[in-house]
Amino acid sequence: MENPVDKRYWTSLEDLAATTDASARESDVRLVLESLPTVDRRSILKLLGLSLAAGALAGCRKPVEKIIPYVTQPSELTPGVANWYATTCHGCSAACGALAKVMDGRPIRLEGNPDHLMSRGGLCATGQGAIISLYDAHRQKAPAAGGTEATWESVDREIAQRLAIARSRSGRDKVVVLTGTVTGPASQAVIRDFLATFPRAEHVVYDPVSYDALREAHRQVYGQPLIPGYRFDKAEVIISFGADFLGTWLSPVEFTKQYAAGRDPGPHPSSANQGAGMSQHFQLESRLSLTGSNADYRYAIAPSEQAAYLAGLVVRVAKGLGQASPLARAMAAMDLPLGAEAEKPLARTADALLKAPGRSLVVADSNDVTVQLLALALNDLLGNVGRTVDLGRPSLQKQGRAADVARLVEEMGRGEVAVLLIHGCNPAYTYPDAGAFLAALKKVPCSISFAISPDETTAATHYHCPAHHPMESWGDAEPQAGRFSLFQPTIRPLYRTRAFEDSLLKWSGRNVTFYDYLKQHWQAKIFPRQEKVTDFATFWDQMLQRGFLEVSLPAPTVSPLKPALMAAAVQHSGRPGGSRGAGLEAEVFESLALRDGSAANNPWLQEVPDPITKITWDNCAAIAPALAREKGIEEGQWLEIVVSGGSLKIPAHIQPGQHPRTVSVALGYGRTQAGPVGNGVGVNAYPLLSAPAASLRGGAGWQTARAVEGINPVAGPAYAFARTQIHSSMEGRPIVQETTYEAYRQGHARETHHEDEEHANLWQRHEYPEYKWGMVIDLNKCTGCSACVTACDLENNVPVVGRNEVRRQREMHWLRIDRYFTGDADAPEVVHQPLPCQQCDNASCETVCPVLATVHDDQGLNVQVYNRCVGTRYCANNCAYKCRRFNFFNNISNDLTRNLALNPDVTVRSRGVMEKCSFCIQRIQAAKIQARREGRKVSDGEVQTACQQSCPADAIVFGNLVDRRSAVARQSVSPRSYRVLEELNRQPSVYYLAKIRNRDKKEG
Amino acid sequence: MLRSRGLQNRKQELAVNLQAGIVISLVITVVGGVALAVPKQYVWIGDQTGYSPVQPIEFSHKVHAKDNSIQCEYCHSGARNGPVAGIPSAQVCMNCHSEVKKDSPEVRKIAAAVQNNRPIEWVRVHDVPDFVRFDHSAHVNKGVACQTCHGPVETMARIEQTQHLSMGWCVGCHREYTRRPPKGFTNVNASVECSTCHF
Repeated sequence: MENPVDKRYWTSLEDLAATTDASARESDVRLVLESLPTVDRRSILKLLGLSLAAGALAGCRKPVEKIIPYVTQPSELTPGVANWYATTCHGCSAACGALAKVMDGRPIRLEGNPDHLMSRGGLCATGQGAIISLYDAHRQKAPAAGGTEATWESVDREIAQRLAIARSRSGRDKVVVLTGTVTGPASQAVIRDFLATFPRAEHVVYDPVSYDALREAHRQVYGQPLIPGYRFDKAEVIISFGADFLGTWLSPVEFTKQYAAGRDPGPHPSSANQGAGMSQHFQLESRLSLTGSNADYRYAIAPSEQAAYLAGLVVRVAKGLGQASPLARAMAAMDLPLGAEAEKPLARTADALLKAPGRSLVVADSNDVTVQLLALALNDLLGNVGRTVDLGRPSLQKQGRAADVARLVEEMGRGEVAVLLIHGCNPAYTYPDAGAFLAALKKVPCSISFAISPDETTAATHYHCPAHHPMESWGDAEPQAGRFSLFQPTIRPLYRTRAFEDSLLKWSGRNVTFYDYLKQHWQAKIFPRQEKVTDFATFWDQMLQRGFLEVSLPAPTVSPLKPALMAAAVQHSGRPGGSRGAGLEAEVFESLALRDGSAANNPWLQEVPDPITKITWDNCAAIAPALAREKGIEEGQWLEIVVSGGSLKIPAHIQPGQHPRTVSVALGYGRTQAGPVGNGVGVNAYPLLSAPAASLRGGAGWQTARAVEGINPVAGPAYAFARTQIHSSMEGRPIVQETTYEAYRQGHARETHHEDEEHANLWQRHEYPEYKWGMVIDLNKCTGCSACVTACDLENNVPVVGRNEVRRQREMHWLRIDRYFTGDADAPEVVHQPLPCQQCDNASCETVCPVLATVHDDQGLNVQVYNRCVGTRYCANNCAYKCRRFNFFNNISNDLTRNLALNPDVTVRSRGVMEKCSFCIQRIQAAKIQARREGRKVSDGEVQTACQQSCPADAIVFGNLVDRRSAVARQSVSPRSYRVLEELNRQPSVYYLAKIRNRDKKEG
Repeated sequence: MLRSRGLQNRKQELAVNLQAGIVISLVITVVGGVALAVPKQYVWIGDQTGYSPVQPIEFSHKVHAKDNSIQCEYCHSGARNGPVAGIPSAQVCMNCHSEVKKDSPEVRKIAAAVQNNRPIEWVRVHDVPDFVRFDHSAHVNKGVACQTCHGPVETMARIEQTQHLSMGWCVGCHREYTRRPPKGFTNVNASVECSTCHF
């Protein structure tokens, strides 16, 4: 255990160097000064006089307001009371269960559905933010033909003619439906039915970031191209080769729930019963990912080294298990191109695996079939298949096949495709060679896009037939075999749009709405697969109520893995890793909030800071400090990344923990036709996806990593990233506490104990007759995924401020996640610490407010009274935790459509007013009113804050500290519990549970 | 900065300043005059007592609530279950008026609203600022009579605001009811914390 004074936490490299602190602050002041308007004194006086007069006149009479009741009020609706509908999240193909909060007829929030089997109440930042796209004024509002607005009748007529020709010309004209992964059984059936009306037709599935190799490896070994279900909760040892399973890989919310369950260190040794133990997590990756930042051991390896490392592990594990399998022999015979530095990671990882056969899990994100085969081999050797690798409930996500898409582009180029229908994907932006796609698209005589908003693809298609937003339409999903969920509309379509399935049904000549089709399909195909309910009407009602169904499946029919087959497959696919040279490599990855870039026009998601770099509104080229030193690259300097066939210009970010020979760039940025918000934000990294024809033919998809010919610094001024962290430094005090699992089991729960110290107190103790609201945040569970940040934004009408204002440190997030590094800059350890207002008992903000706009109430809250606030900002200056946010502008937009998403239970703040986390007081008050109405007290767990509700890791507990039996009160006295800056005696109501790393005491 | 400019510039500037000065003093005079001249009830900024605008339909609470003894919550049905009491939808009016006084010109307006599916735009009388959260259900369920805040509505031919609905007025009641609960009230504990209404 290191002494906290010795263990130094740092937030950025500038902080580590500790030389630029003063200059950084100076530059901040300069930025603020520069941002002030240049108006002379006289103009100000003139304006003052005028506004005084206007104010006095306006103040005499309030404006006339209208009340417009319904003509016929729906029976289920009480004005001002929300209705909740069970539906499905549409943020990505993981299709987590969601509850839509509908207030007076408009959905304002998507929250996780606690009854859902996979996501179990969690919902990620992307999923929650997706509701903003419903109210995006940039959405396509009517069908368009040739770029001009048209009517559905005319568009239908013209397309019907085209399709009729394709039907009649006996197989000469091909009709292709190009979609992202469609998991809904009814939606799939609609596409099948539609295509069946043509003599020559095909459904091509396209995922911009494909998982081909994972499927192909399973096909080669088990005969079925599948993605298995993973059980991180059953794994005591987790080895991830680059897979960011807590951030973006496959089903991050489901995996985070599972992962967090396995990270519970169990009761402290002082208590009688012992828990099952805490999992150990190894991450071997090139970029510092969200998942890697949570690992107990993290090793930086280049993408090209993955196969060699995995092969080395196979050899060691096989040897350790005493199995002389042909595979291990084959591996051992190979000359693994690994240096001496690989020895320690391999030995440690293999040791851990050998201690947990059948209780471990190896995953990899590579699109290299060899890598996936080796990961599969390891899981099989250890007996994990059937335990932590569930072949019986394979994931049905990511069905895209890169080879099919590449072939389609060729066919299009040859003029073989007569009609192309594009839905749920944006190849003109995401296709690695977008130019080739667009050229091929020009050869298609009739192309139709169904995108909700205009994008790069709709700009190049003949027809734009905008689909409904998923919250306006019916739909279904089956993200895992036998696990179904339903989309139900929560608002009437805002514009003249039509569901994609309805369009296909109409063009198939079927006179049925998609709702009826869906219901019939479910009655015929899915209802009979369950036994609990015997009549369909009840079944359907239950589906609408729960939104989710699981049916039992027959046991998997996959045959056990044959080692000989495996060895042959590995050998066939080439030497593991190929050459390991000193060459540079570039890697691209899906960004946490924007994912593949389809959400780029969503300002709330643009302003979610990257959990590691804390950069908003941009992507960057992350390079290691060592590489920066070697090449003389400064933070923000523009780089030219040269790869075969092109180059990319992007500003550099020096990222501790990055592999020294790699550069990582996030996807999802650099859109050109996303809309006013997303256009030109960041740099498009899709051209870096490499697509060697041989690997596509071999069943692999586009490679996310490739060799780089050069990284050349470009002369010129550095780019200023809008980062939220540099100015949120806690100035070196031990505000995050941690220990090792070993020390914890010996009774050492955390580092410092300040609460026992005697403090002189200026304040009188507050009396809390009934409630004192408090929060416990478990740093051991928190992964830093930022779902809480978005939840808080949308629940509390927190505005976005844009890149320039973030640069001036004026972001408005009520809940920020501080990220601290410790250790050396090449291999840092990371801690994430969510920091809402600490709701101090001895609150320093309250004592300095000259107008009593922030006061203490009888339930332990520091109340911020907006109508009293005059904006002195004394409170923010005096806050020890820097949790207060000031409205420098009227931040709420004048966009009336977007404002439909505002929560009517929370005041919209205007310019000149301070604001901060309120512990979701609107929820507290609603629960209290409900309880008083029923003549009882608020029960434990009845009030959930927005951040707590959405947390996929269940890291936040909230409740009444006066009730000593409440979950929050029990956890607040845990041996791991501490409060930030306890020595200041502010007595915060937010407790943190110290982080525990499952690693040896001494070794790093 | 001035020194660097020419004399011409300075003259122009003085002229502009003189103009601005005249405008400002004029504005102040006019505003002051208006403030003194307006009737007394408007001098308190935000005080709306006596406000009784003409409504699109000449609806009489006296006829409904007193002469025909219709309960308030028959029409304002949200009051017990939610924050908003609600204005009845036109369909609720037609529950009775499809039979009663069908030929009244005012009732015809409602019938037309239903027929054309065009909602009636009532003028709001009782209102609190947007930064105030008022919850009807918390009060109604505790037994506070509608008239406490809305005045003797059952005597009004046209609805009129009789109470201040100012913060002092709210807090006065909260304090008084807690200190000396009126008949029928026990264990009131009406909160006067800021967070009760402002969030």
